[in-house]
Amino acid sequence: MRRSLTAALVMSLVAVAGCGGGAEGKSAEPKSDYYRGKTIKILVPFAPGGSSDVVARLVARELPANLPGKPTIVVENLPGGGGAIAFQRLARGKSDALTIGVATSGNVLRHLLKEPGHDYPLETMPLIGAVPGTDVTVVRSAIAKDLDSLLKVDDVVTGGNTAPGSQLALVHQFGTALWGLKLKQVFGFEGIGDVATALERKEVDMATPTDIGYIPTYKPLVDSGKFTAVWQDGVVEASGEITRAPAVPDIPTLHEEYKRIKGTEPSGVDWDAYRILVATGTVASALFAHADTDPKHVKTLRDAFQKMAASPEWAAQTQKSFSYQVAVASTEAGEAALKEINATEPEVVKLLQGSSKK
Amino acid sequence: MEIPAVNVANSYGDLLPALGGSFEQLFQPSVLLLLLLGVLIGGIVGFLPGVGALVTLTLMLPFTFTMSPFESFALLLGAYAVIATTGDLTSILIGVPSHPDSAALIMDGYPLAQQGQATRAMGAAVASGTIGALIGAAALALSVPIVRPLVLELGSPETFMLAMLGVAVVGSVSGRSILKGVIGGGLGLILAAVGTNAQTGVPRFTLDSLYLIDGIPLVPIAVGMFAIPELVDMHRRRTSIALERRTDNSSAWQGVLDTFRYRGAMVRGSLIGVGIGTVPGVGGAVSQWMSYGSAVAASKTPEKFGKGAMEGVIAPGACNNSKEGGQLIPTVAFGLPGSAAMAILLGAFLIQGLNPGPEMLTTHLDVTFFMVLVLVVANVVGSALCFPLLKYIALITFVRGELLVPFILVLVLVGAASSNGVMEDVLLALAVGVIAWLMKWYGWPIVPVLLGLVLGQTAETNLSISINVHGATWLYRPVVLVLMAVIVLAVALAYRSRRRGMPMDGIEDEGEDSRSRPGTLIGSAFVVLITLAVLAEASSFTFAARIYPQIIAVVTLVCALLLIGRTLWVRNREEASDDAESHGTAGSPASYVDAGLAYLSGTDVLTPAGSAQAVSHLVETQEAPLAHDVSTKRTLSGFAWCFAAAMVIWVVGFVPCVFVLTGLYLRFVAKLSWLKALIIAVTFAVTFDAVFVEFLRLQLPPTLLDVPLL
Repeated sequence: MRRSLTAALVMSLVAVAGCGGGAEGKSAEPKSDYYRGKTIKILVPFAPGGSSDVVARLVARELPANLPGKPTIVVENLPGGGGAIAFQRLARGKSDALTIGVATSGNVLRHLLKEPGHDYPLETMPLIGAVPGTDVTVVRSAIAKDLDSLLKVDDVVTGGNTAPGSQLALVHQFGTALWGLKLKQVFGFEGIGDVATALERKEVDMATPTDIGYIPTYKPLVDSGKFTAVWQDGVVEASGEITRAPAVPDIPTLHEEYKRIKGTEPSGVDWDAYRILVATGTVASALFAHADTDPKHVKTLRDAFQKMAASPEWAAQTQKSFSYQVAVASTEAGEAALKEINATEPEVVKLLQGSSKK
Repeated sequence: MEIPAVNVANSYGDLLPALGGSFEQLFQPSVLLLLLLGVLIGGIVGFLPGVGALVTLTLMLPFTFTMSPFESFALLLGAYAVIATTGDLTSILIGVPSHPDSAALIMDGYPLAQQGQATRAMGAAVASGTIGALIGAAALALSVPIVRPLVLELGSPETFMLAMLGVAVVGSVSGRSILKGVIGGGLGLILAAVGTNAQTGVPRFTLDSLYLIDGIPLVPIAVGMFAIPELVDMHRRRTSIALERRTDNSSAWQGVLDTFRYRGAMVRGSLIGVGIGTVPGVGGAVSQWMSYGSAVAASKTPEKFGKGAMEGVIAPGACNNSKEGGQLIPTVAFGLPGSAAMAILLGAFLIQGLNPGPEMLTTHLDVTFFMVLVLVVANVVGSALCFPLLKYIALITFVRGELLVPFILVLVLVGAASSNGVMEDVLLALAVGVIAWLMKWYGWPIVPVLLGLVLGQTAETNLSISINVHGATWLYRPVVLVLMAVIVLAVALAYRSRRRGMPMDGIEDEGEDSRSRPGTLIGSAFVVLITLAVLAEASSFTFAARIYPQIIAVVTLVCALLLIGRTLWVRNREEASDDAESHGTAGSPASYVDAGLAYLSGTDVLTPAGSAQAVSHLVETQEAPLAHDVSTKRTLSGFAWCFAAAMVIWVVGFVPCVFVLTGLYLRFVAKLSWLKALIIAVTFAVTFDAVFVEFLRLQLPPTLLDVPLL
């Protein structure tokens, strides 16, 4: 209560002064640091308000305290072109480590598939840190109460999604194809919340929300028995292994279930494509700096990011907002996922490119 | 898989304790303080064209991390509630919408301001807004037990039909010629098809530009469409907004009394706001026009619309504040945001760890009721605070227009730029401004284009989902059938009021000016070219991506050809300038809407039959008509100032532009002394920097030269 009163007071002062503060951090910190008194800008490639935006704002809020010099961090929402506008601006801007771009898995995927506007040098941009994510496949319980009964469904299953070629649409397509399910995807829904409502209205049978969208919108309906979560795609570890995402530890990965039901390791070009899509999920919200950034600053930022993720403030705030403590990927795991993505076989790229248009 | 009955039972059972709990929360000192703060900030920011709710709420969001849910919603909803109120005032005062949702207030509010009755109009807008908000809040509260089953009934087919209902409003806002209205609506729908098609991933009509790949942004269009022509005309006219140079002897109380006199318009507007607000994707930018159309249709004196009819202010004013209650319904019950501002509110839910959905109607019912209370209190407090100030705010309409132009221009351009933070936003707003000016000059209604643009994507997406999911059976769904009947009724009502409108003396003949016929021909020819280009490009798309734009383009093309045919072949002047339906009905409400539109651009920019008469008597009383060549020269120089400002922004950025534009304009156009111009320019530039750059931290376009200034 007292903190919010202080916040209110600060806001009113700011409003009255008509000026965005930033002068208060000049207390006692002995080292002279690059970031002291400076402002870091985080470019967010989507509109404000969504769960990914909340994560970015949380980083903007918690990162400064972990950076030497305690700079101010501001978030700029630059939606457009599936992340192209924000990343073009990052790539064409200065390499002074004062502008950071947030990439989504869709961003990384569009860059891999060389979609128009995504010709910025993502492969040479240093990764600052990543919040991994997974996708959860949800089906109406009236269709199937578990994966085994879903696999017995012979009819076409209708999946709802936002746009063809999105990471979610592709991972849904390749995931269901590995099981041999007949999927018809209907596109055009505004967001994964709208798909949940369409699921409730029985307009569609299946949905693939991200974990961060699954928890507020889908989980209550799964808990009530209306929907069933059949698998998650998981995250890629530094070792290359696919594991369950910490947000949804109770839902098995497709990889686990595949081995259980089919008794073999999945393989083939469809599996390779699916794996790449899972890897893009591992960098669901990833912070990148300009390609020519001084490695010294990259290290400072990376260290601060990991320090932030280990802080009690981060744990408490993510617990409050997402009802679990959001873990970030280790720098190694994030880089490993990007390395795997950048090394994608041309054949797989072609397959994904062909699947991204209806 | 029906709705668990237990939810309903619970929410009834928990109703009273939850209501008590929310009252208790409201009277926490920190909550009240934040509510007041939200009201103050929202009230001030609401005035700024283009900035509005989105920027304000985004800016506030980070502060809510450490707050309780009650504190957070007190601040955010408090601000949001009041932004709608003061946004309406901007439309009335200067004829520029502060955001797309308040554009309908221009139609009659701005003419009232021009007649020196700004205070009264604002009083009516504030009063109707307050009562609308109360109705909206009551709807939200009452809908709690039934909201989930209710919204679950509104699937894609129903949403599509509601979008069609929005399209039917075109009839009420398209001026004398329904054909021109349909063509305008068609162009809007084509504009909405620009960008990556949501169903197929095919980029359509993007001209290979990255900017257009996500479609045409709404804010630069809405702001440019209304603001630029008005600014150019202010520059041309060189008078104050209030054309009759006398003091505003109207009072805000008169407006309040008007609100009660026209309580039918107010209640209908409120209900439309709640009802349409409930449907995600249709929302506020349409419901205001629907309520405006309903006011026209129901009025006993439809001929007054567009000239300053109080109902034309009251209906959309009530709608604008009631829609928040409506929009909260799907946001709270399903996590479906009905607008961009609601999406940010959803972010606030997330930050608080609240899950929109059944929980909000059971375990978190107190939070839901608290939001109802905030809507009520914020509206009442906000209105009470601004009510005594209206008289002073209205003084702006008595200031010389030349003194206002640079300030409004800067606000309009920054509002446009804030949508994507790129130079294209600014250029788009200016280009749309030029086109809108030409359309008004040549007698084409602009509002249908806006409606088409707003509704296009919702319509196409939901039609496609309906067909994909339901096949042809979607047509037989009960709510769809009811909505069909409502559409027929709405069209019939609009038609009837069109016929019923009393022709004013000689209006059919007087207004027919030399521009009408060539304007119709030139405009139609452009439409033909555009639709042919659309058809040519669409032929390369896949079937699913091309069928919708093809249908729209063909219908628009046919209408344009019909219009050309009529204009060329029908000898009779009266008939030639119009289509069959409105023949002999000049002086109908629609023609006064036209008059209102034309009014926006001044006396000698009047276009279709009837408009000139409707307005001229107002103007001639205090303004000697400008010589034609002076008028043309000034119009051109007005556009030149706009484009010069954009160029300066492009090369060196906004803050230098504010300084240079304000200084030079005030010196050379407003003829202030160098010293005065300089002082005002410096003050404005510094204030601009402090407010927009430092405080609001708007994303402004990157500049060509990287000049670190200020």
